Amino acid sequence: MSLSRWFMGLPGVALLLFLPLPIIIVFGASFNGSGFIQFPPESLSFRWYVETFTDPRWAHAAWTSIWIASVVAVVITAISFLTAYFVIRYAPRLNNALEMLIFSPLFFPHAAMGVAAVILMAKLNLVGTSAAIVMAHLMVALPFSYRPVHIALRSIDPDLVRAAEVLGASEWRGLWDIVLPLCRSGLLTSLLFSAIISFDEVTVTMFLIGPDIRTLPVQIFTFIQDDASPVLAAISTLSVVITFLAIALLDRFAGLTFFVQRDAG
Amino acid sequence: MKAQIHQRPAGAIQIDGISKSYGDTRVLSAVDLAIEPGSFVSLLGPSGCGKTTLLRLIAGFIAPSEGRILIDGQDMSDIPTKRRPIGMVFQNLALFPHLTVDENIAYGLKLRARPKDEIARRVEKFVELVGLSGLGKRRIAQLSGGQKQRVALARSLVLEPAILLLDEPLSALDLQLRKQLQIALKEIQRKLGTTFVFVTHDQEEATLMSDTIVVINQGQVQQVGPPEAIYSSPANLFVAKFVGELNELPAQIFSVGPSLVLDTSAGTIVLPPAAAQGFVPKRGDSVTLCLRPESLSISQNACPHGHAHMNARLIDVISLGPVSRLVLDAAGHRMTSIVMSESRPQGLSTGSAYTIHFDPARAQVFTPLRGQLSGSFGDPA
Amino acid sequence: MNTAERVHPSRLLLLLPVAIILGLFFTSVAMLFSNAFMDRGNFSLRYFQQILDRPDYLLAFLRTIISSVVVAVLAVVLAYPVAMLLWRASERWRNLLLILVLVPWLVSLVVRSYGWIILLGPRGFINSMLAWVGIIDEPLPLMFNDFGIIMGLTHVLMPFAVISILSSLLSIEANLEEASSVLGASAFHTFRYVILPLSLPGAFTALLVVYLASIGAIVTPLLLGGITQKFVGSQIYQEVMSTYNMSKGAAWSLCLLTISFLSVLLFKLFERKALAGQE
Repeated sequence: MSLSRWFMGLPGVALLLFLPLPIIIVFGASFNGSGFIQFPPESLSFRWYVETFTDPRWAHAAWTSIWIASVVAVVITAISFLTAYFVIRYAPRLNNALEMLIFSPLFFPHAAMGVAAVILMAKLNLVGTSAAIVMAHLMVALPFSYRPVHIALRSIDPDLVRAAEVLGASEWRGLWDIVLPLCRSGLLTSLLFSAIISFDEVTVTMFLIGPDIRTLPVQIFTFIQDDASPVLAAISTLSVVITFLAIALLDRFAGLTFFVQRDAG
Repeated sequence: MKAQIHQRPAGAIQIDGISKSYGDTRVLSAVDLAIEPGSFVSLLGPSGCGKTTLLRLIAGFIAPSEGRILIDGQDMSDIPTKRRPIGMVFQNLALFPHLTVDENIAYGLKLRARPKDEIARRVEKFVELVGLSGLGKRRIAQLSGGQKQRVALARSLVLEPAILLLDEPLSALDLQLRKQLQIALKEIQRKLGTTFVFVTHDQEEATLMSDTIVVINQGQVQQVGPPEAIYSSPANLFVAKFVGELNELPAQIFSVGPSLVLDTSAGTIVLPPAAAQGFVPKRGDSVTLCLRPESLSISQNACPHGHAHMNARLIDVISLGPVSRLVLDAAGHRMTSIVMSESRPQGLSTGSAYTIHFDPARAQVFTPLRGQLSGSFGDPA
Repeated sequence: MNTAERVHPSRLLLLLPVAIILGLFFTSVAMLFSNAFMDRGNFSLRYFQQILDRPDYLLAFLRTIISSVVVAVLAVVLAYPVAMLLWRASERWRNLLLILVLVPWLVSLVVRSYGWIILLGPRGFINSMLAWVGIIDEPLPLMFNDFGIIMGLTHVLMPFAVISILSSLLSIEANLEEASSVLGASAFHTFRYVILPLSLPGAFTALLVVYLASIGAIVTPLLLGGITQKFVGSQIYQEVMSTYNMSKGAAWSLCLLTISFLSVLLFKLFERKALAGQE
């Protein structure tokens, strides 16, 4: 029995270790002393990291990605919260239809989404602006933000809000005092999850960049095609570190359960 | 509470022609009710009869389809929940899980921006009133069921509302705890003079605590009155069955006149005409003859002069200390008699024939329920 | 419990923000439609015609679809052992392992694809290792072909499959397995007849989503496939960003959308049949 257990477990472990493999490769390659990309590295050096920090283009791109991610996270979480609150409290029968609409972008091929986005932004004269990227990211992040928020709000006893109102609270006061504190983990999950998605988004964003605006992943992509320098490995590693920190924060403050929770319906 | 309404609200509720429908389903019909300030009123009825809906209408969570509700003379139609002079204890209590006992109770006061020391003073006063001294800093999750009840009570009462609405607050508790809290609730209500509107399906509970009981069935008020009146003079068969034990015998009216003569399978019964409750008897009507168990006695041979009687067979004798319960069968209908044990006839043997007798003045005759029975009564015995 | 609350009309404003976002999204799709049927401002089916006429274009579509099916199946099959491992793991371990799955998933496509380039390239890790050990003389063509793309895409999309199957597994009642073995079933039998069927909803979702993500991919196929092995996504990117031909890009996107839509329909039919006996 235990032998067959091992046998069943082995492929799992192997594949599990297979998953972070390219990231480890990139990490290792970033220390390569010579000028071209290679793994395992010939010699070890930190020069690519130095170059990352000294090259203003990378700093600019990283900063753009970070602030866009922050804006997107906060805005989309607020939107999800208000929407889920309204639906749960006032229009529960609307929920299925609404969720269908909200989750529909998930089924869209990203390439098509990118083209659709750039056509729309061209019409609005916003191509190459950060506003366009923020809007596109809001669209992409919405389904991922809505789900944990909705799940968290649904678990709150509706009588709690009514109790607050009987005691004299206005609806907004009730939201602030009672609802918000009780759905904290859902909101946190939404914030971090949306931030990560925005920070790492590339397929749709790549259509929307311009001379003044670059996000980190798109910049990495452009550089890969032009230039195979290990500086890319360094910058990629840093990007991974940022993502990893965000996930660690998520794990610490909100738990990772929302990812594997089956929607009860 | 901002006194936009009147000066010191007294807590009188007037319900005028209230109806509520959801689509095609009529949940409440033409309810007219006047609740005296300072009284303890129970809304009593089986599940689904509309009593909770009525409570929520008073609270303002839902709006009526027809009619209006007035509190201390003011129409509540356009007044939202948070401005009504009411407090509410929910069925599942709805205590704020992220706040302590003190914080829960203080919440309403904080909303009204009362000064800190006043809040502390009032919270402490009510913590004591409900018997929770010393538990102020506890979190809700650490409390027992009974303690949570008291917190819910204190939270509403600390605001000294004119009216307190209670939605079956004791139904989830075990018997002993429930009895304790029933008494506590009654005492608190008397002390504070708040109008209590209490929803329950337990007629014993309603009888114990209320000044007035409102019996509701299928969205309609069946009877309003003090517990004794409800018990001794029920307005119809539903009320008679719902409140207290009842013996029923189907009958047909043989004649109306100086006496009401009924034909039953257990014999002919002669009653005073006043026995007909709430309807004008006609010859040939199908009715139900009802008797409270304590109005039935049995004897082996003679029965007192003027008593009506019928033949029956004794099925069981159950001694319950000071009282005894006699279960009989009269022409296929089960009858229960409750007598003082010391007045019980000697030498009763099950299976033997006896005579059931009763004072005709204590009998009540009702028209049968027409599809009006909802919910389950359980076995009266 | 009736929760028919009275809604103040001003509350409807709460829905405004999400309505705006959804509005933007569906407007962009509508504009995609209208652009696809244009050629320099006039109504035209030119680009659709082009797709049908040019064999290399048709090949691109075919390659995309077939590769994506392979990717989806591979990703789900490989995800199963991992999901089962996480499922059996104790709470503490599971969290750790979950992070191990989540980090690759959420890290950018670019970074991961870049890692694959380093692995599979002619002077990459694998080739260097094999050459160093002496097994090969010339580098193996692991990149710039279908193999590389499929490897890359499978790897990139696998974490999602793991999570999807895992959440299905987690919703299986704990004692079902015990019950099965008490009744005398072998481990394999339990897996085949109890666990597998009950985890299918998650697996099916994973199949569909991985497939859709794959046909719409740009970065991974472009980086690992190069200019010759075209995916629909890479072609679209080129048309829009290099030649600025919006209409052509839109026409291709529309075809991609149609394929997605039809695939979903077909898949749902298949799923319904396959799950028919399960409930």
